[in-house]
This record gives sequence, C-alpha cells and structure tokens, in this order.
Amino acid sequence: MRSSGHPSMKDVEEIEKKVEQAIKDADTTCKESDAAHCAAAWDNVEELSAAAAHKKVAVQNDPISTDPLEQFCDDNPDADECRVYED
Amino acid sequence: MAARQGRQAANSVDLVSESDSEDSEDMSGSDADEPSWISWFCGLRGNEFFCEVDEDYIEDDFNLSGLASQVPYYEYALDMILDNEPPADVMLTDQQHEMLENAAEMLYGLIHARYLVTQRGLNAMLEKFKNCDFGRCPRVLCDGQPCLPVGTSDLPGTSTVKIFCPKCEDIYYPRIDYQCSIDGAYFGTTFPHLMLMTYPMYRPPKATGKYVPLTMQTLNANRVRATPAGLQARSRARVCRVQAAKDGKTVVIGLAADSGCGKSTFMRRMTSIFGGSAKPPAGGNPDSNTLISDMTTVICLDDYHCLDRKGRAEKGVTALAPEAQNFDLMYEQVKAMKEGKAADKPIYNHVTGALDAPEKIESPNILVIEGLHPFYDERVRDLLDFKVYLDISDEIKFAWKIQRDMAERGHSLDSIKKSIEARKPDFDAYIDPQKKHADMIIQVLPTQLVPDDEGKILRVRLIQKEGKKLFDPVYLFDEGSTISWIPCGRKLTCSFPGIKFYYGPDTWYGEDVSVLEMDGQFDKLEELIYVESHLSNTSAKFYGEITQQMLKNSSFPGSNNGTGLLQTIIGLKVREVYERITEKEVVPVS
Repeated sequence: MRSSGHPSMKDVEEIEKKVEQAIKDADTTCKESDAAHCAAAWDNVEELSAAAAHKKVAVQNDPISTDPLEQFCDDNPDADECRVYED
Repeated sequence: MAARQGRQAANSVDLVSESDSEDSEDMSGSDADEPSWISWFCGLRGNEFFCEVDEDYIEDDFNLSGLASQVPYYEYALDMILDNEPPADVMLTDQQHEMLENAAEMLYGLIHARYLVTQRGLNAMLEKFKNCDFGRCPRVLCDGQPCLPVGTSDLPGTSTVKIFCPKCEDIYYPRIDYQCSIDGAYFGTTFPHLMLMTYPMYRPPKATGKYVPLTMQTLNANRVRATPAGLQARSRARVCRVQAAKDGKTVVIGLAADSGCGKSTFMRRMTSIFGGSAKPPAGGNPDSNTLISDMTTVICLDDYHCLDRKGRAEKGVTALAPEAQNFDLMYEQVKAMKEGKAADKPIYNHVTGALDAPEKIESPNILVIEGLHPFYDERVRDLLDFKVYLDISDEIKFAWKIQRDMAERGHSLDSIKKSIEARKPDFDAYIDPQKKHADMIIQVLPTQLVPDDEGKILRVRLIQKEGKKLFDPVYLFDEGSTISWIPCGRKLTCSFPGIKFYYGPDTWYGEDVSVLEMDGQFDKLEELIYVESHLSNTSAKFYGEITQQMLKNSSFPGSNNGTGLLQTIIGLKVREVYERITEKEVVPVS
C-alpha cells in the first residue's frame, strides 16, 4: 500500500489471494466440521469477495491510481505541471 | 392576395398595350403613381420582416450568381423586381403570370438572404430590430425582448421563418399569423447571429430567471383544501413548526441490506443529492469504512462487530448473527452523534478481518448508518428518523453475485452457490425480519415483461409506509387508486422490452403501504423525463431534478432501470425528511 493511502491494484491482488484461500478453507471446514462452522467459513468468503469488489471499484474511481499525471503530482506537488489556479 | 391580383391586373394592362407612346406615358404614369415592386412587396401584409434591398445590389449580376438555376422564369422575374418593362412581344397567360409572381417573390427572397449579411443589409435590419418590427419574445422571463428573424434552413421550400430571441437563445413562431408562411431561406440561418456579432451592444444580458413550477404539493406536502381557510391553517402550522424547530440536531437514517446488494451505490446516490463527494476521513486509517461529505456521514455497522474474523471462525458464528455485534456500543455512539457529540468509533478492517484502532467521528447534519443490523436493536431503531431496507430476491442476488465474483480467481459457480446457501439460514433468521420496521423498502425482482434468466432486466418495487409525518409517498396519477401504466406508445417510443409501471395500495406486515413499481429499462433520456413528468409527490424541487440526478450518476450500476430511479426518489425523500425535521431548506445541487 502506498504511504499516502491510495488504493492500488496491488491491494486488489492481495485480497483476491485471500479470497482464493478462504474458499479452500471453507471447503475443508464444511467437510470436517459442523454446519455452524461451515456457515461461518462461507460467510468469511463472502466478506472477502465483497472487500475485493469494493477495492476494485475504489481503484477505478480514484484518479491518482489511474491517471499517471495525478500519480506524478501526488509525489511532486511543486512541479510546474501540477500548478493549480483558483479563479 | 387581393393586392397581388391588383398588381397583376395593372401589369396585364401594361403588357397588352402596344404603342410606344402609350407605354412611355403609362410608364411615366406608373412611376409617379405606383410604388416600386420592391416597396410594394415589402409593404404587403405578412412581409413585415423583409427589408428593401438596394437596387444597385440587385443590378450587380455578381451578387445574383447561382440564382438563375434556382428560380424559374429568372429573366422575367428579375425584370419584374427591378420594374423593368418585360419584352413587349411576349404574351403570358394568367397562369404563367401567377407563376411569374411567385418566381419574383422567391428571387427577391433569395437575394434578400444574401443582402442581409452585407453591411448595408445589416444596417437596414438593425433599424427594423430597434423598431421591434420582428416581434417580441413570447417567453415571460425574457421581458419582451425584441427578436430577429431566422431560418432553420438555407434551402427554399424546407421550412418557414422563425424568430430568434437573443436573450433566451431559442426560436419561436412569428407572432402574427400572416408572417408564419414566409420561407425561412429568405432570411438564412446566419443572419441573427451575424447581426449580434456585428453589433454586440445589442446583445441582451442572459435570461437569469428560471421558472420553477410550484404546486400545492411542492410548497407543503401536507394536502390541504385549496380554500383561503385551508391555506391560512397551513401557514399557521408552518409557523408553529418553526418555533419548535430543533436547530442543530442530527437527522439519522438507517439502511439495511445484505452484503453485495448495492448498498454502496445507494449511498452514493443519496449523498449526491446533498452535494459534495463522500470520502474516507482525511489522514486516517486507509481501510476506514466511514464516508464523509459536506452534509452527510455514512457509518458502516460492521465497525460494531464484537467478534473479529478469528473469533467468529472459532465460535462458528457468522457476521449475520446478533452475537457478533456490540449493540450497546452502537446505541451509545449513535445516540451521542444524534445529540451533537463526537464519537470514537472502532474500525472493522474488512481486509485483515481485525478490529483496528478507533477513529474520531464528528456529529454531522445527516448521519447514515448502513449495515446488516440497523433496525435489530430496539433502542437503536428508536433513534432512527428514516429507515430503508433493500430487499433483493434470491434469483437477483445470485445473478449479481455471479457478475461480481465469477471473474475472480478461485471462485466458481459452485462456490458462489455454496456461499449463498450457507448464509441463508442466518440471513432469514436475523436480517430479513428487519424489513417490517422500514419506512421504505426497495424490492428487486426478476422482470415479468420477458422470460429473463440472467437478471439483466429488473422489476423494482418501492414500498412506502402510509401515515408517516416526515414524508409523503410518491404516487402515479391518483393517490390511493390502482394504476397500471405503460408509458410507451404514441407519444413515446421505447426499445424492447419497454417499461411498465404499477402503483397501488397494499399492506406490509399489517401496515398500510403504497407501492410504486417499475419493470423494464430506460433506453433514452426522453423516456426518463417523460416518466418523471408523470410522477407526483416526488419531492423534487424543480422539473427534471430526478433526470438530472440520474444523468449525473449515469456511471453507477442500475442507472437505466428502477433501482436507479427509485433510489434517487428515496434520496429526495431523505432530503424532505431532513427539511421537515430541521426546518432548514436544502438548496438543490446542480
């Protein structure tokens, strides 16, 4: 995660890996444990899938993550290209 | 027409006479008694828009280049316009003469169109403009602005002349009937704009007034008899409310929905009505679930989990179960914020599944709590001023989850199914029963218009509780009756499968409700505005506000169907609730 706190595709990939793992864990839990633990495991999968989807949307909507100029200006607010004029 | 025939009679007399002396006598007589053809033409009733073209402009053949091919009887028509005697040896029948008259008119019109864009032409028209010869703008808010003639085409025979208002920059039909049949090509499409560019001092200031339709319902949604007594009673009631105004209090809205049901889209639509963009608290935990905009703060109730992911896995408890929520803390903090105090609210990190350090949230104008259990605890429920429940049917939920997760590594149709089925018992036991407490419920179901397996076309129902003081339900045509409405037909063409509306009374868990339902999809902007203009009690502040909001958020999912429309309406209702509680007016955002 970039220190400025902007969402990036790296974060999305991190969560997606967790989703994959959670699905495997849910399958295992349902075989080995009772219905309650099985439900809790699949609920976990749902929570992580939702988080992945939200992160993807956040990256798409965040101009700093998608626009190279915005990324540059975020790192170098003093640069000539990044001057902002208030009317 | 009588005048023209008179002219024709006079001409035929000239034509049939043969002797030169008679001709010259007649000619000198004609010159002295009769006005020139141009003056006569411009003096005809209905021809007030025309200016008199300078004869030397017409006599210069260069200015007329290309017209010979457009006008029949060109030579004769030109002679007529310039009052030249036609060749004496030519005899024309009456019918040919009438055609010659028309040709002369067309020729003059086309020359006129070219003359208008010359300096002298502009001058001549300027005098007429200052004299208000072209009429005034019919629009009330233009204050009688003098207009200019304009054509919508430069080709003769296409359309008639219109008048252009420089203030509202729109075109209207000429004010006098007789003027309406003049061909627009005799003025051209350029003329008024060239005129205003040449004489910028005649450009009026832009039309500032905008007509806001006001009806009894917009002024005050409580229906009252339209009698002087009724109106007086209503204005008195308003004064009483102002005196009892709870200034500075926070309005609390609750939104309940399962995961993956479009809560975030709904939140964005709602906050868009109040303006500004909702962002996580600046400089805080990047995984915060809270969104803050100018007037609203949205809190995610997952932050009140008392069991984190590890804890729930150990105990075999889902996030849907009440055992995983700290309702005491939820009640305490929502109460504090409602009373104007800040709260140090925990953060549930959806990525790590752990509870992070708390963040400080200030009390906002409008507090929205969204999550799985906003109406579960009675104490919290009583703090809510307005409650919304998103009820998504099983088939649609399944379709949406497929759309969301199928592209994910690891997910398959099978895993999505298992996930939904495993959560269903807890969902049915703890979440679903909350819907009876909501003030408004949005139900999303598969369409009934066509057999649709993929859940692309949606039937969306807005269920509105009756008898609430803080809002009035939206209705179609006649409140309390049952209406089935297909807007597509003669006035509006829709693409397949079209749109169908339903409105009617019903009961919901023992309480009276009104249901407004939309099945189908919007394809064009005009469908949306057409539908909006037929809905009543929408709480929109100006005609087209709903359409404007839908356009503003056209990238959000559901913007072309009932979810977008009805969620936008709920957003307007939230604004109405806020205004009724605080007695403050919210200026609509453009």
